[in-house]
Amino acid sequence: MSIKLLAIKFNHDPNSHHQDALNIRRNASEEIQAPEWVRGMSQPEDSLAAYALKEITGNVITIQAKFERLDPLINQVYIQATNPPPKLLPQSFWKWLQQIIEKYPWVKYFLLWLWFIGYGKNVMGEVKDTLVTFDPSGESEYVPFELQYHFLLKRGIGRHPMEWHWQYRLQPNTPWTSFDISKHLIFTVLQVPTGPWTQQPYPDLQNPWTEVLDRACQWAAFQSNATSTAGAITQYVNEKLGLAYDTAHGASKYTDLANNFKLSDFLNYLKTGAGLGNIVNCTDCATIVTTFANAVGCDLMASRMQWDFELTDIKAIGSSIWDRPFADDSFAYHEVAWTGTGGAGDPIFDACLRVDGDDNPWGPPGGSPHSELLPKDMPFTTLANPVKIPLATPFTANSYRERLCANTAGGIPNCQAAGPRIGTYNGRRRVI
Amino acid sequence: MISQAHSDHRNKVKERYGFAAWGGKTRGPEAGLTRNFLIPWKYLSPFKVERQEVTPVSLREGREVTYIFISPEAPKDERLLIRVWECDGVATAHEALIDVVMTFMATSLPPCSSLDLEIGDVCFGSHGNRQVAMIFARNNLLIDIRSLGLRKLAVSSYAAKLDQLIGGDLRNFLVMEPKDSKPVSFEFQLSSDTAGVDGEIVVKVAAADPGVKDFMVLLLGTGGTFMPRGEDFVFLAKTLGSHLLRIIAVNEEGQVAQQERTIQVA
Repeated sequence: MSIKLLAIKFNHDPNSHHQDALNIRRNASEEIQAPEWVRGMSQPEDSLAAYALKEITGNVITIQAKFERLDPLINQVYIQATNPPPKLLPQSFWKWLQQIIEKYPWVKYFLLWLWFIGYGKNVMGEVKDTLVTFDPSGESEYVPFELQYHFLLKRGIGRHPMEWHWQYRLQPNTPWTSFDISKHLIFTVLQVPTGPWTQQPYPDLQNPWTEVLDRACQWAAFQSNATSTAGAITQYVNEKLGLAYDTAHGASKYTDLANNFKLSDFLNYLKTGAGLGNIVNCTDCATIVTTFANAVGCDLMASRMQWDFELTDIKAIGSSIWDRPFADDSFAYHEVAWTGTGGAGDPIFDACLRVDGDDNPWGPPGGSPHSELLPKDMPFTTLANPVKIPLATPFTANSYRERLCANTAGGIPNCQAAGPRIGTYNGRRRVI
Repeated sequence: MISQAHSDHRNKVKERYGFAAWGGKTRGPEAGLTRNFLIPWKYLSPFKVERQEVTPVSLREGREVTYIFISPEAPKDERLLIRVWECDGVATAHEALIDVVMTFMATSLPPCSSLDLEIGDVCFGSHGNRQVAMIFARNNLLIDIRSLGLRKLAVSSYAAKLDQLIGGDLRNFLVMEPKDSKPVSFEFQLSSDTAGVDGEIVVKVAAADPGVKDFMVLLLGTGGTFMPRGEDFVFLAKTLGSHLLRIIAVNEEGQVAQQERTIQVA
């Protein structure tokens, strides 16, 4: 081997993310700085980078890489990196696939989609061949390389392990010689993460954490717009994390009185089941959805409705029954992930509970039939104030408040959009 | 800036929690103040401390200590979260209780008296059949204790034990006191042994051994109230007569030292 790959920078310009990777960190304690890959790293998880799809659209993406020559006679070489060679599948697989397509013709379109998004290929495509010059010490500078044939924009949000096979040649038109393999884990997000996440200053605790991206990119894999992304994350938080509602107090575990999100504890819960446990309230759910969705490019805020409103039957997170969690059938307040300015007409995402989506959400406690509806992209209310109570049935509006609250003077009218809690950085609690 | 609506709502919450009946009041004959609160490691045995975090400035500018205690047999399933806020006096602790319950989605909580529990100066339990979470104030401390693990533990016995600790009942320490650990050595000075009604006596407490670890100080006394002032404390004399001031120091290993002084309020 005459050439060695020494290091790769994905985020080679921390002041911009239009041609290179975002400013990120691993978690509360570990920063990530370029070069993200150095010789000796062997697993994709060792080398992390994230790209904002909106910002890179239309731009040539570049990385920078550094090399060492082992043969002192080599002063210049052409270097490129390619996809790994395709895996050869046995004949039996193709026969089986043919049978599947005959039985289910739609599989053809699925395969076509896989081909379109470059399934099985590096999300970052290939590194275009570039002339690299070595200095007398035998090392190159960091050399800019353009990427070609990448699938970043086609894949939407995602978590993409990949590997580049590095090759060199001394002259154009001579055969390539392989010399190294580098493995990376690439995250793709819709746009530059929004609050609490920041790009500047860097490094900073509020730079996006890859431990969050790692999960959010899986929860919202392949999504390509903010609404579907927020919906996917809301659904995942509601159904898949083992969280349950605090029917004792309705107290938050993962936010503190200084309005921070105890994200390290929450990640610990996701990893080990411990952390601060699985019992949560609405503030926790709203903050989790906001923080994870905004990490992948949504623009939500945890915002409130208040005060002291009577409830109709709901199905709280982690519960299998329709109920009203507290003895007085009321909530003091409720907090959800909210879009826009957190106004009455702005849609909300609520991972904390399901409402009754049928045409009579106000039956007696535990009495009426219910049609489960997880509030995703649902207007807080479609009714103008003041609301004349009781509302008539059948009630068919896609209106969150009316499906959350009792159809009484102490219910729907008491539940008013109030905006984010003071001190929460406009509903984007800082992470610790 | 607190809005009028917020202030109105806070008053409504106070009313709902019966604040007028307990706000600023303590139970028992002694006034008490705790500084540098800590739960000795073995105090909730067999539970052991998994985590202890101190936030120097938290609710109402007081210090906050958060503990996670775990059962050695089922560390994931049986866990307790205990948060302690140290306030500058009883009245502040009670306002802080209102601050905390206002972050709860439940509009109100059952008072412990309705659950046949006598804990703290004021105490509230859980909705539901099991007391899996409680919040109470004793003297200048506000304590929130809740079951954290997958197995829902009733926390009332632990709350009662912590209340006993703050109340100065040290029998449990003396039982568990490790024989080979170093006792707390501290000095306790009064600016005077006498004071008039509404007069002040400055109380200074310092470790005699500079190598000693952090220790908790409990100040107990009749005939007046304590309040912190900088690094020291002040006893505000209220009742004529001879009164006993007790200063108790406890370290993390559960070692206890106690000193007493009689003062005259004339």
